[in-house]
Amino acid sequence: MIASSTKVEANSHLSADVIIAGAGAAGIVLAKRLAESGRSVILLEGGGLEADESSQSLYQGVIVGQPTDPTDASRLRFFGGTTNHWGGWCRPLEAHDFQKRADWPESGWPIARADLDPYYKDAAKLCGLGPTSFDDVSFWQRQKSGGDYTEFPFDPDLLKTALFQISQFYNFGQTHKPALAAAPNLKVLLNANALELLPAHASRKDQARKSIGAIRVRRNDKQTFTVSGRAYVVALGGLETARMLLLSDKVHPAGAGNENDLVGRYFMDHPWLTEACYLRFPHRGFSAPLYFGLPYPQKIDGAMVFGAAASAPGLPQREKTGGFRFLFYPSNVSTDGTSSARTLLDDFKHGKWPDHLGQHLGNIFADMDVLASATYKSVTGSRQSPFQESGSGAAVGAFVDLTFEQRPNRDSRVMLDRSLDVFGQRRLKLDWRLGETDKRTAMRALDIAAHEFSRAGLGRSRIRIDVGNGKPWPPELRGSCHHSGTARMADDPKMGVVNADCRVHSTDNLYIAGSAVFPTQGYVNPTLTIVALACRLADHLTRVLA
Amino acid sequence: MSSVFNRRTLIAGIVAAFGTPPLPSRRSAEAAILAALSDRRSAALIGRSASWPTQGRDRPLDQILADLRLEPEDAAHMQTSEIRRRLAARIRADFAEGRTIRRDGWLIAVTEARLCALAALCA
Repeated sequence: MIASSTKVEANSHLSADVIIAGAGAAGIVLAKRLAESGRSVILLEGGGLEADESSQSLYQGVIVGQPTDPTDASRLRFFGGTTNHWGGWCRPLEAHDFQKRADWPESGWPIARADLDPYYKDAAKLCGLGPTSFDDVSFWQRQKSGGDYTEFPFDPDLLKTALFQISQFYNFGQTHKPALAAAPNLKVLLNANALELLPAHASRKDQARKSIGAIRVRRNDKQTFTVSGRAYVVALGGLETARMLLLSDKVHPAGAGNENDLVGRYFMDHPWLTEACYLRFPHRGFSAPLYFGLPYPQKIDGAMVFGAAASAPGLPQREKTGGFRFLFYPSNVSTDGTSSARTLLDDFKHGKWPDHLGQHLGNIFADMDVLASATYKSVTGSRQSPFQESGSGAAVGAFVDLTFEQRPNRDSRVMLDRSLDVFGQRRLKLDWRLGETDKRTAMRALDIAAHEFSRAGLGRSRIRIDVGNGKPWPPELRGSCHHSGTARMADDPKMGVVNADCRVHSTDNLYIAGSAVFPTQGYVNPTLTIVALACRLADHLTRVLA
Repeated sequence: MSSVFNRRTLIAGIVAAFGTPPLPSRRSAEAAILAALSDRRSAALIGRSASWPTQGRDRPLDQILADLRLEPEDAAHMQTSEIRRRLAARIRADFAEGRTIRRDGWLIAVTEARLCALAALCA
């Protein structure tokens, strides 16, 4: 059943086996799986079925650290959550992403990739992916129309081809709404604004573990009601999950689960440097369909598959960097070389040392064949040239985006601001911080890629970013809206908010679903892992509530 | 008899008639290597403006020959396609082993830089 919270009587009390706050990818999958297993579920969604400006404004926050997308633009507050504008990119985390690194004491998941593998398969189905072959290019080559998916010959110690698939069910709200509406033991309440977690009356301050007794919910007309269950799951994303825990000061004065001052800390995103590198192809029309199909790669065996150049296993540990990946966006526009050559020649002719020599030099390198064509026409007086020219349709190069793994940083955090939302609750304050390791990752990644692209015969690279020697991040650095880490997973309560089962250490019935639990995030988009973890949590709750 | 043959015959005749002093092997090697460049003019422009250390005309040539493990006589008599193949292999090795130079963000192989310098000196 899907209903508006206005149908719930003011000051009333509802109950179910499991209460889930947040109907995004994690909450929807969790609710669906639990309902299928026979548990009764109430799924609270703060927004409605469609986008709504007043609901969305509740996500407004204050950004005080590294500039990034506004908090009310990066996430969506209606049924389906942020999958409503998700690009659908899916790939599992690497096995080594789960392992502890000697040089990163904050790293290490309490579970292994093998623990998630069966759930990744379930997640792939829920996301509408094709065969789950994410590292074997030859598998796709063997499929009909996959024959031209040739892999770049990277040095396997340096770069690998990481395969991504694009979800065909990327809007989780629309995709799973019929199943949720039909489930007799599942109640989806829309415009049900989860305000705070309340402790169980029986909880005593000296108890080793606290119990959550209810969630206080507000209707849009400001009337409230409560919902209670045997287990509670906060599935509000990497930002809002931390905010809700911090707002729940009746559970603990510093916020639910915040006994060790970890809630909201270690906030991570994937730093994204657009056009970090320009790759000039060895010849016009250089083609690599596996890598150059973005944003709409061709369908192979019903799946949309594309490749990225990513850090090889072991390289981040060896180089003391985070993981990274490069995406290629071919371009056919290039005329800078001709004008630069003219400028240089004129300057030299007049005995003048050219201004911006380096810039002109780069342009000429980029446009060797354009220059050859212009020279031929000039010398022969011909309108035609045996050399190909830019802008004729075929790509002459590619802009290459770099996205990389941020090292977990305790000072990078989500906090509560003093400003209040319309419900009188403190808005969130985001202080995203990047460190020296992150600059090292960006610089090493670009250097390794530029060498490998050239060695592998892809062309010549111009690195457009320089953050070495204390230089600041360029203004084009942005986040990827992959908010994570704010309720991190660890065996030790002093290192993490939740344990390996995603249960908040200091409680016996509060769980977190979503990327907030990621202790590290690799270079991969998080949604497939979010869904896999939700499937795993559903199995766990089914067992403990049996 | 084709016109090409006629032209070749004519050129051969002129050469035979006037005679030409034998080129020193170093200059022949230089010519052979520069012939392997697909766009010598641009290379020269880059070499002239990039101010790479060259230390005289023979310096980049010697370095290129040493890198290719060629004596000047060998290079002088080598086919352009073979020189290109060897240069390409050497440039790939430069990138693999980090023998690179960066100018304004562009990453090029040391061998490429030397070729540009040579082209500039011989322009």
